[in-house]
Amino acid sequence: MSHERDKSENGYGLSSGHSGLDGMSVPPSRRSKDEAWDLLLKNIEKQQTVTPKLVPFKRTKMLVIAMAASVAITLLVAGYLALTGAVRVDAPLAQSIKVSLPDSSSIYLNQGSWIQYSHLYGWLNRNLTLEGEAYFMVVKGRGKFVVSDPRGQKVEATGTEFSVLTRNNLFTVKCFEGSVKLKVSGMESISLSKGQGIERKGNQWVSVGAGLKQIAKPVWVTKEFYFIEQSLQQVFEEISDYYKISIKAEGFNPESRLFTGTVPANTLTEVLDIISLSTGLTYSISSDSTVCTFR
Amino acid sequence: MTLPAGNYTPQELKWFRSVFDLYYESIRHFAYFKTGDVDLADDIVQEVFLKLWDMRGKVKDETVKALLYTIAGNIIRNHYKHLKVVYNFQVSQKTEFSVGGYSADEVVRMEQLNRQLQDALASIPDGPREVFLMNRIDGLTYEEIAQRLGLSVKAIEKRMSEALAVLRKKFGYKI
Repeated sequence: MSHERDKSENGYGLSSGHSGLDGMSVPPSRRSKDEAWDLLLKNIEKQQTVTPKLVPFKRTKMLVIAMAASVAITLLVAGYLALTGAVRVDAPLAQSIKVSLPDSSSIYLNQGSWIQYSHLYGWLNRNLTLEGEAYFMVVKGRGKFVVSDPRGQKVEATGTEFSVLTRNNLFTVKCFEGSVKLKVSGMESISLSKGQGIERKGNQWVSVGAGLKQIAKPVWVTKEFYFIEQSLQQVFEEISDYYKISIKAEGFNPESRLFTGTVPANTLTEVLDIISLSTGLTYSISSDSTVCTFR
Repeated sequence: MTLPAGNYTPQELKWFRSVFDLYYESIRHFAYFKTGDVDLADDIVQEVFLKLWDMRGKVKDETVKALLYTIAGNIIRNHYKHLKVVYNFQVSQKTEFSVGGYSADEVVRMEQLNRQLQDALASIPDGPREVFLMNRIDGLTYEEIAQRLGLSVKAIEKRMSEALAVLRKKFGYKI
């Protein structure tokens, strides 16, 4: 008997007489020790049998495989679309169209021009290619907006309104709102702010459209000619350019007469009538409709 | 009965059987001391040894005893902590009748006293109670209890004192 046992018995007398704990024992189990052992082995066996079905690793593995497969499929589809899929919009001759982009930006595409952008436009980038002339209204807060042409000339903007004319050797950019940055390989990049325009002449930038602040959007966008104290020569050139007709002056110098006014760009006759009435000039159109002469 | 062939060695099974034989009763008692429920104690014993089997590869002989008590304590603490303990210890015939010649009144009085004692045991806080019962029912020394519960002998002495203080308060004299 141990020291502690002796101490407890002698010190507190708990084991003495009827009131002690000596006669007490834990109630027996309903099963013998051997039965308990057999039950334990059965439980172990059951656990071993069941375990493979319940292994969370398998579920996790399946889940991981399923997720990996989904990601792989998504990447494949996205990659395929990114590499092969593109949207191209062409504006027919003699007609400008408005194009809405996936990021809610808009483009007015002038006649004979086209744009092209990836299916992933707006997801990974806002890059598009332009050939011809377009007026861009770019939505802010969606990242950099890049317009490039097949010759590698780039215009970058984040949120602004600007026009780009890129055709053969022509490359002209005009900024109507915000600012844009021009990048051309081999040339210093240049920024334009509202009211500024620039044209590429070889490897030089030449400012164009002085006083752009007073000039509205292109006619093919607004369907209106908007002139403020411009010479009749300039007026004739714009109308000539828009309707593809040659306009001549007889008996007066068109550089010396100024014109101010808004003319709806409807039919050629309507425009010529308004100019004629407001300037006191008369006009005639050649039989083949290629030359108009003001007198 | 033995296990079908699996991912264990015959040595492991032999070792497991020896540990079971050695500690089955004491773990069962410990579970009963903590829960006061025979069937629950049996279930807990099964669970304790199942867990031991699962971790057989990492168990050392010198710590297996303490480990078993720790597993049992954790199982009870995690799953049966709100159990109301009601003891029903067996009182041996020897205690009641060995001296012989007890009157019917004395037998009834002893039964009442035993009932009161078992109720009083249930009222002792968990820690001191299990120490008290391991000492008084299983006859373990303070050192043995300290080893099994992973406590110091001083801590066991303190718990015993607490248990005895509760009992003294209940009975008002040295029982």
